[in-house]
Amino acid sequence: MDTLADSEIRIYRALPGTDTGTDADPVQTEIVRHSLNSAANQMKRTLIRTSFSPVIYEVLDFAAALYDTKVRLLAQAPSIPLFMGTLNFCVEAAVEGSGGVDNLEPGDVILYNWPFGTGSHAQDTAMIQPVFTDDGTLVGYSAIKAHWLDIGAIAPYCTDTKDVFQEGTFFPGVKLYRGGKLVDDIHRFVLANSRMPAFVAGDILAQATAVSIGARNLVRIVDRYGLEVFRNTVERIFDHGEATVRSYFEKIPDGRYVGHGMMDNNGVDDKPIPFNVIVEVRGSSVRVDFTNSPEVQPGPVNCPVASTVSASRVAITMLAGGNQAPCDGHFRPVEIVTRRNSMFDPNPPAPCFLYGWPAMQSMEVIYHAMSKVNPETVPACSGGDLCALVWWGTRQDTGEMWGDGSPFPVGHGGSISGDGSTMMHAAEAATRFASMEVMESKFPWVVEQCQFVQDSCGAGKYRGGMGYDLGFELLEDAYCTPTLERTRTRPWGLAGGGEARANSGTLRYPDGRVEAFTKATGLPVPKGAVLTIHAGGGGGYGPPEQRASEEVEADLKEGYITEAFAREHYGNL
Amino acid sequence: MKRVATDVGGTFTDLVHFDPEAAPGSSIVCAKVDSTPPGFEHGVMNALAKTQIRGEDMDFFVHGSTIIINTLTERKGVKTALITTRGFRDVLEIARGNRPDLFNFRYRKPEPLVPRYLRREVTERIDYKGNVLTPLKTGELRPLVDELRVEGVDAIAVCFLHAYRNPDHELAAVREIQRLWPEVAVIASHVLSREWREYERTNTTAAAASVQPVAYGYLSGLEASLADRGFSKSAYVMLSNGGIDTFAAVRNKGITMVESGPAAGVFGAATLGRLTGTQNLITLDIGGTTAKCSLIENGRVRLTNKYVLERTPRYAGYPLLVPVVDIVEIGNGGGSIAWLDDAGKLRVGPRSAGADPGPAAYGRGGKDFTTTDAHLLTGRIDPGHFLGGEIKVDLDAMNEAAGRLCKVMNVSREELARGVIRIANNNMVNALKLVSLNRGYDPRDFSLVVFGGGGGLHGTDLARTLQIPEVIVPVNASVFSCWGMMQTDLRRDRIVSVPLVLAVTNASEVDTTFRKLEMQLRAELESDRVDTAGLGFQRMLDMRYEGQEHTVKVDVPDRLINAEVVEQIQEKFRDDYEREYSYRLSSQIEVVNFHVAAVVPVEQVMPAKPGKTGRGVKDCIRSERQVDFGPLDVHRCAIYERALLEPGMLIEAPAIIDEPDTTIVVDSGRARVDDFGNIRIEV
Repeated sequence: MDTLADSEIRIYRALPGTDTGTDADPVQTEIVRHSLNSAANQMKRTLIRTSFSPVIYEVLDFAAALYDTKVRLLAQAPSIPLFMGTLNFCVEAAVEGSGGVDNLEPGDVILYNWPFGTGSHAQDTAMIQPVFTDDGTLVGYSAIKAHWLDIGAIAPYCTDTKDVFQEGTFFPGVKLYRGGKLVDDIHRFVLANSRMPAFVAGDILAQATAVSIGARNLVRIVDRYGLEVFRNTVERIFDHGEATVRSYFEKIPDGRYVGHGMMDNNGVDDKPIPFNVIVEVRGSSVRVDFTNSPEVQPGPVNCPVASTVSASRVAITMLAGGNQAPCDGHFRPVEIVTRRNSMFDPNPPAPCFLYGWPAMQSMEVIYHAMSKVNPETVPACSGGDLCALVWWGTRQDTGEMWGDGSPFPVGHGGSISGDGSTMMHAAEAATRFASMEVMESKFPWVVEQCQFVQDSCGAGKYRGGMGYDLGFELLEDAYCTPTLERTRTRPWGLAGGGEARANSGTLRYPDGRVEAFTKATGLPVPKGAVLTIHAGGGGGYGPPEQRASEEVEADLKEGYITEAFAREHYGNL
Repeated sequence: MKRVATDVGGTFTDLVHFDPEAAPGSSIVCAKVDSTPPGFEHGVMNALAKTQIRGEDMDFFVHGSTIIINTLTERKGVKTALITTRGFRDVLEIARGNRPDLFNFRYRKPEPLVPRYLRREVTERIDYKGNVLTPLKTGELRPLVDELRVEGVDAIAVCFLHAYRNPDHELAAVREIQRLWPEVAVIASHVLSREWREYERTNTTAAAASVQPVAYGYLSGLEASLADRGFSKSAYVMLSNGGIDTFAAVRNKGITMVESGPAAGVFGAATLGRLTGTQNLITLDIGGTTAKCSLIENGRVRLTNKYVLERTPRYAGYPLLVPVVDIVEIGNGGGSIAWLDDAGKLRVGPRSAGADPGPAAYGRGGKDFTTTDAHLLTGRIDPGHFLGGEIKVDLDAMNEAAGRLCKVMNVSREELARGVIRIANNNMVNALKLVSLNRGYDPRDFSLVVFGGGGGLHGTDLARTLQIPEVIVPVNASVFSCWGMMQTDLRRDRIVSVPLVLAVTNASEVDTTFRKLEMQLRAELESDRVDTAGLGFQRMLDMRYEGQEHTVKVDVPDRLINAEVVEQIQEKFRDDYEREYSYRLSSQIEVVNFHVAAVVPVEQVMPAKPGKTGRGVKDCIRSERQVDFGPLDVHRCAIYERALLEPGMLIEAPAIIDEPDTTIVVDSGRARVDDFGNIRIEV
């Protein structure tokens, strides 16, 4: 990565292509590309199948990727898109933190989780293994960043931290494995800082196994094709990604397009935070400009720059990447500009536990900007959140601490290609929510309902996806950290489409009292209480009066909408 | 025992008849006729007529069909309703919320198999231990059933939360529905699956209900037609779990035959292995649209209970919790289309030209260059004998299709064809790796069995890349599935989630659980009037380290499980786990599912060995031509006629062996014809 910096403004660009002088065989290139993707997928599979936490094996809250020696993305397993573009920052920072490239040995695994390097909160811990061939040549890096259940913070999940040191324990690039051997001192130190050491110990092993499998496969590929052929084909792979994105932006008229977003609050003060992102298209290049961002926030909604860059790249890849898994080349036409010590580029020790929420929203704000020039290319706004709940408590019978966290789907915006669905936010596309039968067997609650709510979608020629209610009745006392965002702003419609229901949460106490919640750290939920999230719908696309009457009738028959809603938005039936 | 196996596909209906008392050389009779949708049983009857097989010529009839999978993928099932726990009717539509096509923000989820207005709720609730929290309000069913009757529903799926643990409410609801409306087809989730995960189980039940009347009508019709022909013995259906079961049993559980054809192919390979003493096999079945592969270790076929209909890397598909032979399928077959992506890069598949219009060379209006066209262009397939001479190759159409790509890529037609074959091979290598290397198996310990129309064209190249020492092209490769079915054992699987810690102290609980399952299976078979002489059980446990989620299936011995056996099982799990994931832990081991397969063996077919006329191998050469073997260069080589080959013959590379519906490329090493007529190539 190439960083141009002056005192105030930082510009991020991917490294430009290098001409290797030789032209790699296109078929060979395709074969190497496939092999690299297959290697990354195997890392993912290993981690899923050997991990100990639902947040990894069910929610898939991680990213796994392979990088070359210049830390350019070679291949990435389909996992959380928002993590995708941050792993190169992690590799660079981890290598630097542990003493630089010259200090690396075969079999080393570096642990790194400093938020201003990873782009994430402390729990998202990167493991990086430098990859050496048998003759000792460094050929790249195998990397996984995964969510650990707990690594110390004022609570297992936080919404109101005031600086980063309240958010966890930090590993600034330390070797967990040295020359293939576990460094016991580090391992014990890590586990001593977790409320749930057994889970974390299991996941560490799974993560280390998965990065080493990635490393082994990368060596196999290099051995098979030879280092020179490998390097040439990699250049071709990057060129191809670049060409795909450029061919998209060439067709977009040059100009500056502004998208608007709004955070509910920063978790500490209860004031809405409006922000905008400017997307500037020039020829086949695009610049995503965050310099207008709000000041750094006193609460944890600051987004370290790695995730700002990642969110922008994911948004652009979804728009222009030809529906391919991205590599470093896709990022070459994209320039990201931030202003130092702002919400989208905070300096330490700014709190950033909820970094993902502004990052996630910025993706949709980028689409909002693009809709100004070309609404057909993007969907209307989604519920705009993960509606995540993090739980913990002490089991009555065993006295053991338990914990779990899960994101939940939201309604998605309608688009030119049809009605929206109800699914995970695009930033977390690969994740899924856990089975209720499985959850009930592990945690002390009974799920009361999981059903769509009538009229929660935005009306439109193509309506938004449905919002729904999901309620948990507690069988034992527990604590919950809900992280609801976009509760004050309804999902926008596009091209004349209507707004949808916004997210909200309610807690019904055993005595019948009902209280609303949005973000809260460690909300006590007593036995017998029912905690419900009311997930938002998706905005509509296109004028509702253009919706085909048989579609409106079908929505009525299916019970997605009421007759009152139909009359209000679709006119005479 | 005279046996007949028939396999109905979308295009062809295959038949194999085996008569052990017939003269050597005529003990096996094969036929291929057109399938006859929608009344597929007519195709079966046509095949019997063509081969002049009468009812009394059959002691044993086994049948496989794609009818269920086609009904599902074409959404031609009956109008189906779902009855589920109050508060949860939208589980089927919300699903798991995932969107595997990560970079497509317009991703569309699979449409729910039951529309919302036919998804109904009743008051009831059971917890994860099987305790009743809220009793079933049976009275709510009457108005609900009346409404569904008015809607014209033909089938009802019943799925309640935690019914895998306690099916009482489902049983009571089904009884009540049947009482109120005896004509409607109704199926409950616990009958199909005793595993947790409500979305997956609900979807399985909905899919099963929607095909149940179809399966019932189809199998009843076929049974009647067979009876008309004078058949009075046992008729069986090939199931996805690689076993067969009676028409009577399958009629009410049609979903269990969803992958009937591919499963038969894998079992055919296992049988071939048994016959020829090759216990470790990787199977590869290359058809027109896809390639399917599977791995057989020590003669054992692997099953999965995580089958997902229509899943691709970019589409979540429909999970079906029924045991299915573990097959990896990729979108690369003979009809796979070569194309250039937005940035001008060559790709092959997954889009296929299918049978209609087919590859450009068919001359039926196909404009796209396909893998088959590449084989023709390189001379691997003989243009003069394309599909046994049934189709005259349209060279102009083929060259035109190639030309379009060549122009953009700036390469010659020959280079294009080589490239297409290499990319197709690489896609298949990745699929083969998924069933072997990625699971800790070393391909060097296996033989590659190839069948389907395209197997012989790609086998040797793939084997070389993966260092598989031998490729086997079985005799009658194009009706291989029938061959497999004919010798498949009767098999029923039962998988039950009973989570427990596997410790020596609960050896007796493990033992009791297995025995209880076995007793249930035996009773069920007996009540279905299956002859249980020879009945045996295969026991498996889905296990994991305590705290993990994903399991590894481990074989368990079929004897009294005491402390010592538990220790053996623990060790076996740690070994299997280490082979797959490269480490072992000393921590506790959990059992999630008990899995028992009841197997009633079927007498094995021993085909007569073909005779020898003393013909020389040179006499089997039909012609000679230039063939482009890609990385192994262009050679002028002999074209052999497979029908003329006899056991013991050796053919040195480079050579081509031709059959009417397939071509075998021998580009390195040498091919040998074994005692049964199979071609075995040492690469």
